[in-house]
Amino acid sequence: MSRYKYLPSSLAEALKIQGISVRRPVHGFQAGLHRSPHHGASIEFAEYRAYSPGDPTNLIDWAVYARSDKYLIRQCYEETNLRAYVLLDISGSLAFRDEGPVTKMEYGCSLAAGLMYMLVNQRDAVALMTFDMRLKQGFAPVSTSEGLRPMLEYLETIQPGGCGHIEAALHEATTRMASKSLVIIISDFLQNAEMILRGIQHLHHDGHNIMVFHIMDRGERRLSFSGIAELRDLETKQKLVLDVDEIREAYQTAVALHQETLRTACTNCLASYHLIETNQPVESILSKLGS
Amino acid sequence: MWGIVSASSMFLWLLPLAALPILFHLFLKVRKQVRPFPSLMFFLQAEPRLSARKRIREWLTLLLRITVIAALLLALARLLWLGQSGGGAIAQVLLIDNSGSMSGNAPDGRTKLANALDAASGLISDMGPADSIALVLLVEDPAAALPSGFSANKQLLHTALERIKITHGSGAPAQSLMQAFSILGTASTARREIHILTDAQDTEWAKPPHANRSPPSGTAITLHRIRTLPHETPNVSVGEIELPRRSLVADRHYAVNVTLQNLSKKEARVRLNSLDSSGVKHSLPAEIPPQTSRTITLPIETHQAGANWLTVDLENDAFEPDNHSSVAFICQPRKKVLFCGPESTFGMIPLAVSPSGDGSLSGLIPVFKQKERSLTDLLKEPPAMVVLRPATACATPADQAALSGYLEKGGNILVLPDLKTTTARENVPPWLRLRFGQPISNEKGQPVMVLNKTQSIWDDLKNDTGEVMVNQTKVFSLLPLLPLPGQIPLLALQDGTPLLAQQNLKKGTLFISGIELDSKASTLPLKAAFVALIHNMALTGQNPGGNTTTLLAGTKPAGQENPDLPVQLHAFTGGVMEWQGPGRNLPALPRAGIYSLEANHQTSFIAVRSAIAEGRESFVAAEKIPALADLSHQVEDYQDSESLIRLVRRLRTGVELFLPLLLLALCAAVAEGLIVNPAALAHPGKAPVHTSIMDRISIPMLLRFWKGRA
Repeated sequence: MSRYKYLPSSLAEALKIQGISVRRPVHGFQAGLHRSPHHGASIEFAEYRAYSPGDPTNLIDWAVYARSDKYLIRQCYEETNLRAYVLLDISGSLAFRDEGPVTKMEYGCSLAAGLMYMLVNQRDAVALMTFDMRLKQGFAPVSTSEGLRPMLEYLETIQPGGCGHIEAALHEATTRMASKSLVIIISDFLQNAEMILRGIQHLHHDGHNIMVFHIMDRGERRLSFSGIAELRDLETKQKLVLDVDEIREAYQTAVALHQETLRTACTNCLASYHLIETNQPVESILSKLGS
Repeated sequence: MWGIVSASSMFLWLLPLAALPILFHLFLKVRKQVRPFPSLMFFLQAEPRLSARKRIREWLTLLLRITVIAALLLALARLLWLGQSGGGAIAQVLLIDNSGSMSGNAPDGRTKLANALDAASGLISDMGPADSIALVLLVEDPAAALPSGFSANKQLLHTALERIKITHGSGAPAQSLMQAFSILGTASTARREIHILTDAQDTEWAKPPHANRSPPSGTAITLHRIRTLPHETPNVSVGEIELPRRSLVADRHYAVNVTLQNLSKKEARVRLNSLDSSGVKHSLPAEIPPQTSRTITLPIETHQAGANWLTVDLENDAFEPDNHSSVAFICQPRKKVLFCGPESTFGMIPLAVSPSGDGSLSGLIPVFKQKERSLTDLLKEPPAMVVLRPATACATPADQAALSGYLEKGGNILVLPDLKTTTARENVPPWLRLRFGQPISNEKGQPVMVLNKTQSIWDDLKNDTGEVMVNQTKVFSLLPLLPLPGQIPLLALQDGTPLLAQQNLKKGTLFISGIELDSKASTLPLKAAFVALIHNMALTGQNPGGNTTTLLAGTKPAGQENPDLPVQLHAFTGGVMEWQGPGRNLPALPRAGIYSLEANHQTSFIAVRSAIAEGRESFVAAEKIPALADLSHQVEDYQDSESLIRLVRRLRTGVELFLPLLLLALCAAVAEGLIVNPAALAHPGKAPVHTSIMDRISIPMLLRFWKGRA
C-alpha cells in the first residue's frame, strides 16, 4: 500500500485494527459486521412472533411452548456487510491552504483513502464519488483491497476546480446509491447551510447512515491575516477588497453560525458531524472514529 | 449686496492644493495584499454591502480630507460673506486726523488731509436719509467751527469739511475718541460707527491707552489708514527757542539759540527766518548734516519794555508743519546799577555798565550813592545790581536791613575787596562777613583760570569752541577768597586760589571779587569780555516770565483762575484767530504763532510752536493699532473714497467666515479620523489599527510614486 500517496503504509498500518460502525441498519449483500433490517441467523435476539402455518417448525421455540403453551418463533437480527459511498468534494475552494500543512483537497483525499481502507479492511464494500456542482466520477463499490486500487490512484489525480453545489451533487448521488448504505461526505461545505441540509435530509430519507467530514483550514476559520486585502474567491473568481481587521469578528461569527447550523442539521438527521482542521493528523481523526 | 470677498486672496490661489488627497488616492494607493480565499460567502453574509460601504467610506474620507484643506485655505483667505444690506439708521462719527503729519503727501500726490477729507465727503454723500454724521478732529481747531453733534444735513457737513485745515500740532487720540463716544452716546440708533481717517503716525497711535474705555454698545470702530509718500527732500524741524538765562532789559541786543533738527538721511540746506515784535526780520542760511541737530544763534533787539516776542520759521524744507517756533518774553525797562561810593573807587565797572552813562545800548544806568543819601531810599526802586565794599556800604542797621531785603527779593550784589579801609565787623550783616586771605602781589601778573564754566555768568563769554574768553587775564594784586560754604568759585589763579566767586542767597546772588576791577589790579577790565561779565552779573536771575507762556501746537492754555470770567484770545502771528468766551471753554491753539489772552483786564502772551514729532516718518503698519488696543477695531488701508464706501458697505453687512471655516476644518478632521479608524469608536482603549493617510505614506512609497511618474 505504500505506493499510494494518500494511503501511506504508516497510515494503513495504523488503520488496520480500526473499524467503522453505523447506527442504522444497512442492506448488505453478504454476511458482515453490521445489523441488517432483516431478521436472519445471527445470535443476536430480535423478537418473538406467533407461529404462522407454513413456518418451518424447527423455528418454534419449544422451551417457550413448554412454559406458555404457545407456538412462538424466535427471531434474530441478520448481520451483514455495508455499502459505503465516499462523496468527495473536489470544487475549487478545496485548493485553499493557509495554516495547514496541506490543502484541504489533499487532506480530504487522505481522509477518503483512510476511510475506504478501514471499510474494506472490515469487509465492507466502499465506493468513491467525487463532485463539484454535480457528480464527477463514480466508482462501483468494492470490498477488496485490490478493488480499492483504482480509487486510490484516482485520488492522486484529482485537481480541485470549478464551482461547487453540494445539494445538487447529493441529490444526484442518491440516485446512484443502493438503499440503506453508509454515505460519507467529505467537503468544506461552502454553500448555504439550508441547501446543504436539504441534500443531507434526502440521504436521511433514503435510510442512509451519514457521516459528515467538514474540512477547514485553521487560517480560514480564524482569518489569520490582517490589513487591507483583496480576496479572490477560488470558485467564482469574485474579488472583494476589504479591511480584514474590521470584518474579522463578523466573519468568525458567520463561520461559527454556519458550523453550528450544519452540526444541528446533522444531528437531526442522525448523521455524525466531524469538523476537522487540516493541521490535525488524519491518523488521529480516523483512530478516534474507529474507537 | 451679495457675494463673498477675500481679505487675503493669496490663499485662494492655493485652493488647488485641496485636490492633493485625490492625487494621493490615485497615485499613492495603499498596497493591498491579494489573497485567494475559499469563499467570500461569509464576508457577504456578515456585511452584504461591505464592498459598497468601503467604497463609500473611501470617498467620504477623500471628501473630508479635501474639505479640511479647502476649509483651512478659505479660512486663511479671510473670507467675508456679504449678506443683504440690513436696514436701520446709522450714526457715524468721522474722526479726521488734522495733525501736522497729515500735510505729507499720500501716494496719489495730494496731501493726506485732502485724502481724508475726500473720504469723509464720500461717507457724507453715501449717508442714508435716516443716517446722521458727526465730525470730530484729532487736533482741536476752533477755526474749523464744526457742528457740535450729529447732523443729517449733507450740505452743512460738506461745508464744515471745507473749513478743516492742517494744524501744526499732534493729536490726542484718547481725547478725540472720548469725544466721539460722548457724541455716539447721544445717538438713538442701534448701529453706531466710528471711522478714523488718519495716517496712523506713531506719534499719536503707537502709545497704548492708559485705561480701558468702553464705547457705546454696538459701536464699530474702523481706522482707515492713509499711506504716506516718503519726503523727497530733507525735513528739518525747528525746536524750542532758547532765550538768554538772565533778565532781559529793553534797548539791548541779545542772542537767542534755535535748534534745528534734520530728521532725514540727506543734508539739508534751509534758511531760517525770524521776526520779532518790533518788526525786525533776520534770515540766516543753515546747513544741517543728516540726522543731526544744530543750534543757530539769532540776534534780537529789545526796543521796548514789556511784552516782546520772536517767531522763526524755515524755508526750503520738505515738511512745513514742524517749521515754526516762537517765544514770548517780558523785557524790563532800563535798570540802574547802584554803586555805593564815589565813581572813582570802582575802576572800570561804571564804564562797563554803560559806556555812555545813560543806559543806551546796555539798558543799564550807573548810579552812585552820595554820602547823604541812605541806602534804604535808593533801594526802594530795586536796581539791577548793587556794587559795594563791605566795610563802607552799611553805615546803619537800616541800610543793612534794606540791603538784606533787596538780596532776598532777587537782587544782585557785587562785593569788591576792602584793601584800604577797615571797618568794624559789627557794621557788616552776617551774610556779608566774607573772609579774605593775605594780599598777594605780583608785578609780572599771574594767569587766571575759569572755573564752573556752566554757570550762566559765562554764557555770552564763550567762543565757538566753548572756551571762556578771559583766559589770558593776568592778576597783579589780589585778596584771595577764603572758601565759604555755598560759594561757587568762578575765577582762580592757576594754583587754585579763588579770586571771583558767586554765592546764591535766597533769590539773590552775591558776587565776591578778590581783585579790584581796574587795570592796575588785573588785565580783566581790558578784555572785551569784561563788559559782558559785568552785564551778566547785573542781569543774573530769571527773566520775569510774568504773563508769557510757551505751548506746543494743539494744546490748551492753562486754566484760568476764574473759569467763568470772559476771555478774549487774539492771534498776533500764525493766522487769524479771534475767540471770546468763558475761560473754561478756552480752545486749543492748533497752529504756531503768538497769541494774546485777555482776562480780567490783564493781558498775557502765549507763544505756540509746532510739534517736532509730526515730522517723523514712522507709522503704525500693524493690523491692530496700539492706541486702540482696548477697543475692538478694524484697520483698513485707504485707497480712494469709492473703495472706502464699498468697504464700509461691506463691513456693515458682511460676516467673517474665518471662524466657521476653521470649525468646519476641525470637524472634518475629526470626522476623517473617526471614519478612517472606526475601531477607535468601537474600542476606545485599543491602539488604533489604522492611521490617517499621512501615516500611510512612507518615503519608499513616495519614491515609488516619483519613479512611477518618471
